[in-house]
Formats: sequence, structure tokens, C-alpha cells
Amino acid sequence: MIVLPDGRRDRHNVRSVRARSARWLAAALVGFILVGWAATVYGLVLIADGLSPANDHIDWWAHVIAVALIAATAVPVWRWLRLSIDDVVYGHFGDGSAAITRLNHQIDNRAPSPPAGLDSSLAAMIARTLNVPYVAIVEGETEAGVVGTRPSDRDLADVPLTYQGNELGHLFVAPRHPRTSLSNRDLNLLSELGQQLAIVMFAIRASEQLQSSRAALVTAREEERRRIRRDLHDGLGPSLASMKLQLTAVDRLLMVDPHRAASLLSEVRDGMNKTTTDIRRLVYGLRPPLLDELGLVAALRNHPSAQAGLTVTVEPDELPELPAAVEVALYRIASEAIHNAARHSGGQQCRVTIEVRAEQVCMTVRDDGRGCPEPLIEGVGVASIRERAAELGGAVEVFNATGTTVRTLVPLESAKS
Amino acid sequence: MSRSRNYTLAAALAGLLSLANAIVALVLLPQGADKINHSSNQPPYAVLLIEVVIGLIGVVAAYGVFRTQRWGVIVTLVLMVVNVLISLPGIPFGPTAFDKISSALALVLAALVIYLLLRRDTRIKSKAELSA
Repeated sequence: MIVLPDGRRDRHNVRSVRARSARWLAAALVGFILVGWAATVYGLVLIADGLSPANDHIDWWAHVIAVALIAATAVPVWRWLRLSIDDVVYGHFGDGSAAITRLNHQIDNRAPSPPAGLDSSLAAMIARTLNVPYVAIVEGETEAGVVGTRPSDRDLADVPLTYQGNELGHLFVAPRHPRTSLSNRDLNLLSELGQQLAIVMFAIRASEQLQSSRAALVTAREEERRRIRRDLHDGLGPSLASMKLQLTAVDRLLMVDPHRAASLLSEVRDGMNKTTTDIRRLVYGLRPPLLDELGLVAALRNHPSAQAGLTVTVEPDELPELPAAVEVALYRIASEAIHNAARHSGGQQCRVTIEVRAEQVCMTVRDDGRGCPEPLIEGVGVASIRERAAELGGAVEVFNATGTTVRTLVPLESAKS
Repeated sequence: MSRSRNYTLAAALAGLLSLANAIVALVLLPQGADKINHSSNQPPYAVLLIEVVIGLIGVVAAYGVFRTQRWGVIVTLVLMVVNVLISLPGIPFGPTAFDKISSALALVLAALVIYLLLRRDTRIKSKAELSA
């Protein structure tokens, strides 16, 4: 029955009328079959007593036996009939397409863009379809949608909500009557509805991840801009202003005190060198110039750690053209891994293997050192490696195999787009 | 036995029973109401008419059961209960042994159809089956 906003109950709503009709139909069927059962038992006992056209005398004890039999069997038969008829009236017939269509309509009608989380309306729709007292959609540890109060006298059916092998949540449904269970017909329908719910859950999660990924990108861009602004404003700006003042002083001193002017010019030259270094550092932060000058393979071979005692080998010698974002990400990830190998592994060799496949690039950085401690406690370096890979929709694995191995997979399509 | 097999068997039995009822009644009906009502070894004319109607509806309902339609199951259940109640008096009061046996057979078959239609499959499904 629908409860109106003012608290009154809408008895004339189509859903309420249908639900009440179904209840009446179920009750009428149970009553009709029970009466048929009683009449049949009574008739069979009388026939057993010898009822025939020639003998219409029935012993009194035949009536007693018939009534006793009916009385003894009425309750179990009624219970069985109630469950079975409920199954026929409310249960799932056919392929469940009608219920799935209703679910899809419900999702369509309530999901704006981006899709909102699951709520109780979907649980209510399932409860209505199966006429069950309690339905809960649990996403992880949170109850995303609940209808009814969990009954303590019945075991809940637990339908896992899985998509592409990942368990995203559970659908808990209470049977219609105490100390009973849902039939396989109901479970089949729940299973089909569960698949749809899992897809919706997956879509919502993907949307949320996309949203947070977009937010992270915007944040990263803003951070980058702030850093560049800070470097320009606090570093280059004052340096150039100071050089301007020094040049003004040189202009004044040139005729009066040429020695002092020459000394000032020397300071200006030093300042310009420092500023040039700052600009290089700024530019290097945007994109390592070695990548443009030498390419990824040679840039890695010339990594500063290679000059600090660690032998860095990179394979293969030639790589096909990679998207700029992938190239920078691979360079920075490999740099971090080589830097970690030089600093922590205690090894002598570091081997970088880059494999370009049709849809992704796989880069493995392996050293011959002592390996990482188990369990691995990730520091800032590994976290930064993961972040760089995740920015391009990639993934990173860090494990021990005769030293530490960092394997990175980066999809090419997302980087191109 | 799976649910669909139950329904297929119930549909076949209900269809055969309804068809047999309808055919037997249709064969007797041309004799006319007067002759049938005055005959001592035949059911009343009204009962024959009811049997024809129930038989024809029963065939359609059995098809509904075969197609796993809710309406088919509900109508067949009602008709089979009626069939049981109609067949019951035929066992003691049937004029011939054939009538008595056929009534008993019809009762058993109708009861079997009811049982098959109401049998619940509550085998516990594993989580893997549910999430498959």
C-alpha cells in the first residue's frame, strides 16, 4: 500500500490494488484447494467404509475418522498450500524480462547524470515484485537500499552482486513466511535482477572513479600552475628585478667607477647563470629535455644513477613512437625505480625492459639487489610511481624476483585520447 | 525433477485428462437432455455440459502450463480440484466397473497434476549459482 506524504494510505493506487488482488487470489486458491482436499478425504473415507448405491448406511466411526484425518492434516496441508500458492501467485515465471524491464525503468527514472547511488526504491521494487517483507541491497559494508525490517525468524537469501568476476555487493531477501525459504524460481529471478543491479553498481562506481579522477587531474594541473607561478614570481621575478637594479647601478658607475661597474657586471652575469639554471629546471619539470634530445631509451641509459655506480641497461635499442604522455610517465617511473635501486637495493645492475604491444606498454625495471622487505611498505617513491601510472589508466606491480622488480602496464588508447 | 519438467508432465496429464473428459461428454451429448437424464447409467445432462466446458478450458489451461504461464497454472489448479470433486462420486456410484475405474483414475491423475503444479523446488542454491 502506498503511503501518501500526509501519512494517509492510498488504497486505490494501482500497485496497491494489484497487491491486494494478488493476496485475495492467493487466499482464495488456498481456501478452495483446502476445501477440495477436505471433501476428497471425507469422500474417500466414506467410500472405504463401503459407500455405494446399495449401501447408504455409513458407520458413525467413519465420520469420526474422516473428521480426525482432516483435522490432523489440515494445518500441514494449509502450510504447504500457502507456500506453494504464494510461489505460483508471486513467484517468478518465464525469463524474468518483465521484472528486469521494471527494474530498468526504475533506474532510468531515478538516475540523473552522473548516476546517483543506489537507494531504497530499487529494493522496494524487488520487495513488491516478490511480495517479500524485507530486501536489502548492501554495497561493500554499507546498506545502499533497504525496505522493511529484518525479520528475526527467517533466514535471508543471500544473492552476491558480481560483475566481471568482482563481487560488488549483496542482495539480501527475506522469505515470505517464517521458517521457510524462497523457492528456486524466486532465487532465479533474484539472480537475474542481481546481475542488473551489479551492472548498475559497477556503472555508479566507474562514474565516481571518473569523477574523482577528473578532480585529481584538475587539482594536479592547478598544483602545476601554482608551482610554475611560484617559481616565476618568487624566483625569476626578483632575480630579474635585482639584475635590472644592478644594471642601472652599472650605468651610473660606468664613467665614475669603472672597477666597481665591472664587479657589478660580474654579479649580474652570475645572476643570469642562476636564472638560466632556474629556467632549465622549470622546463625540465614540464618535460625532461633528454626525451626530446635523445629519446626514451637513451635518456634512461644516461640517467644520473648510471653515473653513480649502477649499471643501467635498457632494452630494446629502438622503440616505436609513443604518445608524449606515455613517454614522460615511463621516463619518470623508470627514473624513480632506478633511483630507488641505486639508493636502497645494494645491487650493481639495473635492467629496464620496455615492451610495446598493440594496446599497451609493459615496462619492467629489475635490479639485482637484496629485494624489498616483505610485506612491502610503500613509501613516497612507489606511491608516486603508482599515481603516474594511474593517471594514464595503468597499473604497477612491485615484487621480489632476484632483487626488486617494478612492472608497469600503461594502456596506449587512453593516453592517445 | 526440475520445475520445468514438473510443469511439462503436469501440462501433458492435464491436457489428456481434459481432452478425454471433453470427448466423452461430447460423444454422449447428441443423445439429448431427456434421454440422458432418464438413463440410469449416465451422468446428468448438466454434468456432461459442465464436463465439456471444463474439458475445453482445461486444454487451453494445459497449454498455458506448458508455456509456463501463471494464468495457466492457476486455471489448471482450479479445474483439477473441480475434476477431483466431480470424479469422487463416480467411484462409489458409477453404474459400471469401467465408470468406477475411470473415475478413480481421473481422481488420481487430477490429484497428481495438482501435486506437480504445487511442488516447490527449494534446493539450496550455492552463491556461485546465484551469481552466475
